[in-house]
Amino acid sequence: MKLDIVIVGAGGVGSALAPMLGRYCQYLPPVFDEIVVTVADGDNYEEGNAPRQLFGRFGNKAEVTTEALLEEFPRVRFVPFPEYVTPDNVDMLIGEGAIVFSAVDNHTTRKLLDKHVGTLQDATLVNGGNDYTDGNVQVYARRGGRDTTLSLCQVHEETANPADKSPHEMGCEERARASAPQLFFANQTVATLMSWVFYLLTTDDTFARRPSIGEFYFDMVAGRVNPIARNASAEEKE
Amino acid sequence: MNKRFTRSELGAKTKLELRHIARDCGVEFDNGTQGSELIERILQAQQQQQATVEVKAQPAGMARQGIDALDDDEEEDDDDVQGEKKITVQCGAASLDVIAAGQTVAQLREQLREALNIGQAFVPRVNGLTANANSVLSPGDSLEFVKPSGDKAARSR
Repeated sequence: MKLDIVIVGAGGVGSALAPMLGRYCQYLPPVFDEIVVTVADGDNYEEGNAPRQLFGRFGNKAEVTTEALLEEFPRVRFVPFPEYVTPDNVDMLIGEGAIVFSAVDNHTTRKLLDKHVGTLQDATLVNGGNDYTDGNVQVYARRGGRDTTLSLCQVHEETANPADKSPHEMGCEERARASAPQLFFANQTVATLMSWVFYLLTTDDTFARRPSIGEFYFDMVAGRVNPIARNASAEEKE
Repeated sequence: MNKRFTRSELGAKTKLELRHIARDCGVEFDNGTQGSELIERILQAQQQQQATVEVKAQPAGMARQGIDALDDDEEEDDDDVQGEKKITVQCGAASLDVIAAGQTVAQLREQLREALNIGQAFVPRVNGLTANANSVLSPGDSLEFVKPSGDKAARSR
């Protein structure tokens, strides 16, 4: 059985998630005979990333992240995709059966991923995001050409009608201005909640067919994690 | 809590009196809590008690909407009649059970706006489906005000 995993964004969340998935996949049962983790990001690691991200050298985030993990987890084939995801390359990156982790910081890219997954027969999109001390993780699952959970755009107006830009549409200065202070622990929490979803997808057949959790919200200050179902129903079809 | 105090009435109280009132309201405080903070907490507690006949905070990870939430022991602890009338209201990571059947989404939004930190743009969903402000809630309904996704940015919402 093949596991096709795509991590979009190797920033604070994606760079935390990749080693978690690598370690877990390294020791999965042999039934998974091919495990591929593609990491996509067009951005570079630089000194300013150090407070929240672990990297061995400066350079493209996708390349730096995958080269380190290839050595550590040889059973997993880590593949760099050193570009921002755009309408022109999204279908090269994400194919049938993929489990996609969206760890980006803009709704335009989230919408692109959401819409693309919506064209596939079988795929799962796990989107994570955070503000300073809170955030959420969403699960959009397609099975047999049908939605089994609601898409991101069906639930979240800000994703359906994004007011921001994808990083490939911005210059360096604009990208720098768009960034905001973040908390390392919030990034780690998002990555951990995404890993919960991955664990359920790979161990629980019932969850894998129809995820019973469509969204997690967390709030570090309140000390809460709140799971919410997002079952797709006839009334929600576009 | 028998008497509701206005902000000005509370402002005229001594710190000791405020502490007595806070204790009656179930407000938590310690020796370092300032008088102004006590007043805010008391007002908030009064507002929550007014908004709902009963407001019972749910433990983390006990959401509804198809998720089997309450374990058997807690179900047995609930008052049977009130349990049937409860509506679960969620916003982000926060979740409350309220007795509010017959009220509209708009009424609950206003009543719980501060308690659940409900933003103006948060879209309501009842039992998982998009709802409008005039939707009337029934016992057992689950109402969610969808908090926007985290976007790692300090934009106002």
